[in-house]
Amino acid sequence: MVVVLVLLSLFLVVAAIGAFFWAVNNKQFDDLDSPAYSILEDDETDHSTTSRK
Amino acid sequence: MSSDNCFHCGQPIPLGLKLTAYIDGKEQSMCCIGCQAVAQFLADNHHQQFYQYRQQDKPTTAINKTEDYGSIEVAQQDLITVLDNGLSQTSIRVDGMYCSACAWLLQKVLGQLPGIHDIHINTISHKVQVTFLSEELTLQRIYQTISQLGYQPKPDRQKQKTDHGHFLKKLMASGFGMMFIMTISVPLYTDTLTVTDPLLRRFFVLLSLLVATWVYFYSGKVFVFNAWRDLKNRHLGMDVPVATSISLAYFASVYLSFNGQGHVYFDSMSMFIFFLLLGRFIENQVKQQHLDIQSALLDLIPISAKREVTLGIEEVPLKELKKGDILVLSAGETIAADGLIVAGHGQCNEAILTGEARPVRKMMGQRVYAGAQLIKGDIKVQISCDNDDSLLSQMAQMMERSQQQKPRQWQLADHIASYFVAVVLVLALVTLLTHWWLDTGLMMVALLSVLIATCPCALSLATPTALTAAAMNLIKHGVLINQMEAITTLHQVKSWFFDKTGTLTGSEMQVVKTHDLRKGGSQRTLPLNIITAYLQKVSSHPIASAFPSVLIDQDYGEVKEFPGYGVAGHYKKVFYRLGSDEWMRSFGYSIPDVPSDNTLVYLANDQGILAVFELTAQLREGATELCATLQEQHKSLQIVSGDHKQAVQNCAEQLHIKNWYAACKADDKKQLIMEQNEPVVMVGDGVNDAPVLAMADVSISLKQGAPLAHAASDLVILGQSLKPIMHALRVSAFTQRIIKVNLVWALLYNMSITPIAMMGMLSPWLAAIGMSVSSLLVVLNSRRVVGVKS
Repeated sequence: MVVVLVLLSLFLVVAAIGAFFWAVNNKQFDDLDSPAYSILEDDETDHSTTSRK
Repeated sequence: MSSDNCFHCGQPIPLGLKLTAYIDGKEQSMCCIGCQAVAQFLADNHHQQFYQYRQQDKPTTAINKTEDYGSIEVAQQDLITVLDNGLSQTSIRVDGMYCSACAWLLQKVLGQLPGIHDIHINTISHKVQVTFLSEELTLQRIYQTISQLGYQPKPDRQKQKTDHGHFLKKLMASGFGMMFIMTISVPLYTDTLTVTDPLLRRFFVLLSLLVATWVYFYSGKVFVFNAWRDLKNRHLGMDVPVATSISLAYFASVYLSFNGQGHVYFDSMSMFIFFLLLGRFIENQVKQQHLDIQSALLDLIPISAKREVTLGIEEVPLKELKKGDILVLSAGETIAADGLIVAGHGQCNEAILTGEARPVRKMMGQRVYAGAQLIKGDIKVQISCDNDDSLLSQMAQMMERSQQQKPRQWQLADHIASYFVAVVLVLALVTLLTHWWLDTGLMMVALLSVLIATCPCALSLATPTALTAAAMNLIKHGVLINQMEAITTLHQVKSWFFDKTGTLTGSEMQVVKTHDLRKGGSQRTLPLNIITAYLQKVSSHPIASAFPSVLIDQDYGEVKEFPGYGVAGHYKKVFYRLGSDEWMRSFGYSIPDVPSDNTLVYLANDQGILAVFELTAQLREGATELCATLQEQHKSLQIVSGDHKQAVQNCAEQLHIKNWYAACKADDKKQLIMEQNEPVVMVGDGVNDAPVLAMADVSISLKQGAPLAHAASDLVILGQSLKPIMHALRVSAFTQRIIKVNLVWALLYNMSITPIAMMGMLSPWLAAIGMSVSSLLVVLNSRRVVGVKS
């Protein structure tokens, strides 16, 4: 039982690190200031330019 | 906002100009056609929210004519990166971007272009990254679009730093690793809850080993590499004991976990690595902000140039230019390389290199410099040196070097830390031998604790963190730091020297009094300001700036400038002259006697002198407050100026400064500074002050002065006001106090913890916490400097 739980927590750690690395590789940490303002953009036609990848 | 200022750019509207744009149902006045076009463009495309988003920040430069950016196409290949999916990506540095509104606007407008795939805008670094389809959209079009909005796009030639991401990954890896290992270490430590089953114990230890191995080799290896490099250079850096302790902890624990007895130290090790990386990460981030500001200097060189070849003229990218090539330049272009004029003549604006705002005449055989702009004329230039050796590049290098120099206090801390490291290693050895000799069974515990607990992290963080925090604070308040040391010395210096022209007084002149000498009648109907405005439009002399510009759209006759004398020309068929008394006398006019301390300018037509204008340079904003503050702090103030006696005396009286020296040449000023027995602060600007600034113990210059003066000065004030100096003074005193507290704390901690660790009474994980907390306290204490308010 303990073994399973501990292994599960190890799995969670690996998942967390993986998620974080993915975020860094996707440049999500490059600019932490400007995106805060994107919520204020109230233009509905704009989704095509910002979210398309 | 007052209606006298442009709704778009906030600059004053020239007299008599009636330009408006229809925004949100209201007519708003505009200062120029460029602003009107931009404002109208925004309104027509429903982007008027721009004016709501921008807070108080307004662009301060009016909009110039939009450029064609044909040269961008030539240098295409250097500027575009083709991504794996076939899209093109380019990074553009956008000057004139001030706030979130600008970013919003760029995002909107660029997003409407065909072929745009993704736009990423960083408002802090002023960089725009555009991903686009090169078949549908040209780079030129992107640049044109940005410049139509009133911004100045420049190719971003700085290589993207990838370090940031790597560092972040390492930091996080060690962080998560640390948390996991600590979680499963708890049952191993606490005896009451102990996992009694030896097999389970073994399992826990092996799991920690697995994670710790990854943390050590992924995150911790930097320290080992650094330590190895330090040792090879015969230098005892801070990384030496760090690497020793993490390696020792790791390998000893590996050995112990397979031998199945005693404690393992994986938790201490990963905790140690995490906290060290965290400290360095914060330090790096602050440094990066500084570098961005510097790189702006080199962006002034155009990315392509017109080169003369046997068949005519071709446009080539900058990097293909070689020594000996002939460049062809026409008015308005920026010179791409240093060289000699081989044909033609013209006028250059070398403000960026010399700070002299007035254009300089350039004849055949004279030297021109990269980064300077050709204002008038057409010239051919033979390139005399490679790009890296140009004056501008050298200046950029100089700035970089000055930034790399560590302040003395910092060096001292490093020096002490390196002795400290030696002591730590010796103590560790003593501990090891003693415990081995006495066979206490605490050998490993004591050794690791000594290495970890005594890590001089707090000590070596004490000064740099406080100084970088101060730099961060100052940059927000408009002070650029060239020489970190200035921060710690500024408030201690008692003797302050000020240059007058352009420092205590603004660089622009103002008419303070007008003596209208006309006899009345029909003559008086024509307002003087229309005449002066019409005449001064051809001149770029500072005196011309005193006469407000009035929009006169019709051409009433030719006006010519006589450099050093004045301007002359026809206005509605009457010939006028506007200039100095000496010039007027040479035409035989009788000069009216106007008793005044100010600079006098005369307006005359063929009948005689019509009016006398009294001009004076206004005191710069904040000058009075600064001098008052300094005097309150019992500093001695002096003015040294090249100006004539009366003008200097006036200025000194206004500021209540008792000591002043007039009519000083650069050499005299230098002599004066050299003769001082005590440390001196010099505040100045411009080229002629550069050597004087270099002589002073702390030097402060103003932004509109020459970049050369920047390099020579320790602090650069970015705005128009002198008030930031007062702020710098406050920050300086506070920083010094913080550094002292930091150093005392770090030393006290290290001295008190070492004996405990040597006795083996401190377990390594506790030592790691102690080390981190002491460093953290130092960093947090330093961060207080960031919050100092003006």
